[in-house]
Amino acid sequence: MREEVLASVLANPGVEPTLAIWGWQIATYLFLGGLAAGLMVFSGWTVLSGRAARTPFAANRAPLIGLVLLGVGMGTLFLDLERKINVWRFYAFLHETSPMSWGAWILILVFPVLALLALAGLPAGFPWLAGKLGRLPIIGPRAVTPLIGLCGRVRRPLAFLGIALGIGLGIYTGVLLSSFNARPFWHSALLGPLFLVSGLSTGAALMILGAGTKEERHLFGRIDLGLIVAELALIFLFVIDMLNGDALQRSAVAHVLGGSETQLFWIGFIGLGLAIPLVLEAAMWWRSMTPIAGAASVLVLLGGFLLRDVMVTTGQQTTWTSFNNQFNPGLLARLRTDGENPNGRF
Amino acid sequence: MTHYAMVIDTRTCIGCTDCVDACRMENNVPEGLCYDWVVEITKGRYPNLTTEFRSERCNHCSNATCVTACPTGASQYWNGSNIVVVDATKCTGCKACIAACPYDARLIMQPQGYIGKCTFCVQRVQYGEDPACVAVCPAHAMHFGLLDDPTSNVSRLLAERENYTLHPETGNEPNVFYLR
Repeated sequence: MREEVLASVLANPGVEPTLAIWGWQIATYLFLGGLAAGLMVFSGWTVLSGRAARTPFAANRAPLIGLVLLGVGMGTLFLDLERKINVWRFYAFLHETSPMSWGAWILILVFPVLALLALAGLPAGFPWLAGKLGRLPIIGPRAVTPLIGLCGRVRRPLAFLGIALGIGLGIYTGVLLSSFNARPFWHSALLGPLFLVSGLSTGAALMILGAGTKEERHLFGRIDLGLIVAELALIFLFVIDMLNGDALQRSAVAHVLGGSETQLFWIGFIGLGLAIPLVLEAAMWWRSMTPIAGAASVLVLLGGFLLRDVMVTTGQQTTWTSFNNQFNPGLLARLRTDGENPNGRF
Repeated sequence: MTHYAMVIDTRTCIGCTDCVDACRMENNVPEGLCYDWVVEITKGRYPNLTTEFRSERCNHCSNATCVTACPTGASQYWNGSNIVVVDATKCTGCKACIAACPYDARLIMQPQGYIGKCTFCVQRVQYGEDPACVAVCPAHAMHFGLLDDPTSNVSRLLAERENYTLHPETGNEPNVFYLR
């Protein structure tokens, strides 16, 4: 027998399970970041490959939607910061060994490129918005309209940049987690490709949802089918990799093989998020029905979020330390007479 | 690099947790949180049991992953030594360092929101004093000093006694040593 019990109080996250490091804010950001990356890559691809006329949603509307989604994601990222007043410090320094620092700088590059791509698609995608912006007092005719025209003229280089930055953003969301040696469940090089493929898959799913033509819906249905197969292969390799890992990795993967996250992982992510959409999108190959395509897309988006949620939650529960923690917040509360909840601050 | 180390004698430690209380007093640690903690390890099978107490804290690793993971450079080495400190004016509270620490030694200071941790009491060490936990230990089980100096008490203890560090396989090169 070997038992390690805390003789003193320790309420640090990682030891006290109720104190999480990262919550829904980070899972949401990783999901929306991956989704925006997928939209950027496919939008850029339709422009570069000359499909823009046949895929109006992907070419013209997707960049603006991606911009809004990425903005929401950056908002939840900001919500997660414990010391929000120092947020500008991310841009006072590039720490080359920190993936989070690289990610902050990638976001600063992605945002303007995505915004210019959105402007380029505005006249065809959202004519009413383009008209409204063009009629803005003073800046409308002098700045906005010429800028939209300029973006339209340099659309191909912008699309190329968008693909490169989109792939960077998609991989980064996985590399951020896989860089932490201290969290065995995250410490797999497969996380980068897995998150990229998942991001592309959710991007394709949103293209199906918004598709302007039947041809566009079919195109992205077939693309998404391939991506789901690739994602299933990667997640299978990830589990095998963990099972063949050291003791820490084996106990980490046990969280999704019978542990606390098993149902969410297998029923939620693999079942609802990958297997059912796989069948639905395969059925779309023969016969396209809008409700089927819509259901498949919504499920893929749900699966994309569940992947991030399970990864973020499970990863931070896995650690090198393994104490039997006797810390009981209830006892601390009983010791206090003024009635303040000592854990209310968490 | 000035190489500081802490050496803790598990043979004389009685698990009184005085080091934890001294740390709270010295560093104004928020209630319910701590920079150091004591673990009681029981091994064997009844009636042949052995107990060992271990006072744990940040290991002030020579290769600290919390320093490399910090996006803003707030988590840094103090004054060219291996003592890891957090610059609260640069810390965004992104918690990358908490995820990066294999010893779970970091915490969020409340209500300010920056990341707190054991600093080896740099405010005392810079004047040549021992950290509060070492100074207060009633069993004289804790020692602090320079590993660069072969005549220091920590260097001599490590040369004379069998010792170990926590999870050296992390590759972080921890600098809190335990004597068996």
